[in-house]
Order: sequence, then C-alpha cells, then structure tokens
Amino acid sequence: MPRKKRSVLTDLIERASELGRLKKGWNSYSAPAPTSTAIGNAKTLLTLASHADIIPERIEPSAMGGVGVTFTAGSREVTVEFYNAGNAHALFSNSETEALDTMPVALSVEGYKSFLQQVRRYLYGQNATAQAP
Amino acid sequence: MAKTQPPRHPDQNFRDVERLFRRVHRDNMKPDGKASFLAFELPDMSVNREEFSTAEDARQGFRPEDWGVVSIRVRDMPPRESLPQINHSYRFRARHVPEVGNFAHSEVRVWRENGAVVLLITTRQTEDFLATDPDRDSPRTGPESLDPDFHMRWRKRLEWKCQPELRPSDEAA
Repeated sequence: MPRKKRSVLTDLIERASELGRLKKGWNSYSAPAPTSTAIGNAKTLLTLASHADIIPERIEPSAMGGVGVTFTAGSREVTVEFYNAGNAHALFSNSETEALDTMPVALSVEGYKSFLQQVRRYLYGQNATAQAP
Repeated sequence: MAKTQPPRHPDQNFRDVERLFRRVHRDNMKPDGKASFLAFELPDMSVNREEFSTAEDARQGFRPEDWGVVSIRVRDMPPRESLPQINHSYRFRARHVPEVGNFAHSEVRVWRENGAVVLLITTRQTEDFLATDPDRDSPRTGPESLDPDFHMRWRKRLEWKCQPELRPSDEAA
C-alpha cells in the first residue's frame, strides 16, 4: 500500500479510535457516546474503502448515536451512519440538484464491498479507476 | 443575556423569519462554517430561539475554540417528510420549552402520521413535560418509529439550509 494512502487510512482509524473516548452528551446536548460496535464497524469500512482506493473525507460522531463516514466528490456526497444499535444506513446527496437517496448498508465484508461499489459509481460515474482529486 | 424581557410563560408562536440557534462542536462543522447533518438529531432536537436570545447566548459557557453556532430559520425547517412508497409521513414543528437558566430553550419535535393516527415521537414520559406543554397529553411513540430513510433526508435538508452564525475560534461578541 502506498505510504500516502496508508497514512490517510491510519489517520482516519486513529480518529475513529478517538471517538471511542467521547462521553454521553459530547455534543453539549444529550447525544449518546459512540459505542465500540459502531466504531468497529466504521473501522472495517475504512479499511475496505482504502483497499478499494476510495478514501473517505471525514469521520465524525453522530448526534443520533454512532459515527458517520463521509465520501465526497464535488457536489456529491455519501455519508454512512453507523448506529450504536449495530445497524448502518447511507445517504447519497447532491448539493447542486438537492437530490437525496438512502439505503441500508449490510454489515458484512460483502455488504461493504457492494456499498463501496455504489459509492464509486455515485461519486465518479463509470470511471472505475477515478479517484477524488 | 436575553435580548428582551421574557414573558412568564412559554410562547408557542414562532415567526417564519425567526432563527433557531444550535451549538455545534467543531468536529461536526464543515469548512464553510455550516454544520454537518450528523450534528442534527431527532427526536426533540434542542435549539435556542432568537425571540429570547442571541447566537452568542448559545455558546455562552463553552470554549469558543471548540464550539460554533449555526441557525435555521423557522420557515426553512422542512415541515414534512414523506416518501411515495411509504404510507406514513413525518411532521416537524418547533416548540418553546424553557429550561432553568435558559428561557430561550426550544425543541424541534417530530410526529409520525399514518392517516388519522398521529403520534409524537419522543423519549419523554408525561411527567417529563412542563405542565403548560401543548404536547404533554399527545399520544406518543418512541424513537424506534423514526426511520433512517426519513431522518437522514430531513437532517441533510437542515444542513443545506442552516447558516453559520459563530465559527469556532470566532471572538465572542
């Protein structure tokens, strides 16, 4: 794995681990702390995304309880929200057209791979080797 | 500090142009100063209403280096969310819910509608509502009634509509 990609992946995984130290009410309101389940699921996706050459832009805690991983290309964005309950849902959005779509994400290696293929198609079209600038 | 002398009782009249302020941690802020939709929650999302407070009030007592404030105008809050293939829909409304030391505190509440059946989605029990709260005796259901298909879309629309008021590290006014 190229050093730069490994570094980005390491940074994102470290950031995911840091989110595990948040306490209930971390958002100054009443947000639940992200659970180890939600963080572990996010880390698995980060690793598989890196292998698939799709690097997320950010990982952040969710006020709904869990963590969110966001992929971006231009006006298009895909965010998968890993909930504390152990499920995950993705939002596909285009800020230019304000089009929105959602889908559940299956929490298995095959499920993640299928999801990442959809992310790639949504963000980069049919150019399978394209990557965000 | 309150902008105006607050009345004794909650005021459930929200003007369309009124702003609702929400404090956001820098981890949930985008470079343009808007909040990521992950900063928004349902049900019972806490905000401070402009009628009785300022954006600075929402950040009072919190480190400006780490916290920002965004606003949503009442008219910009998506009032309803529905999907054609699903029977039920969701309705949203701001409620003034004063707290001790924060008269401006308000909440964005959500109802699930299925024909004539309308249920307030909340984690609260009856005794958790103020005696004057108009929703105190409403039929209720829990947050499990909130489908991600709906709340993710609604929260994303809020992200697009919200405006930066105070960015982290901005000097407090």
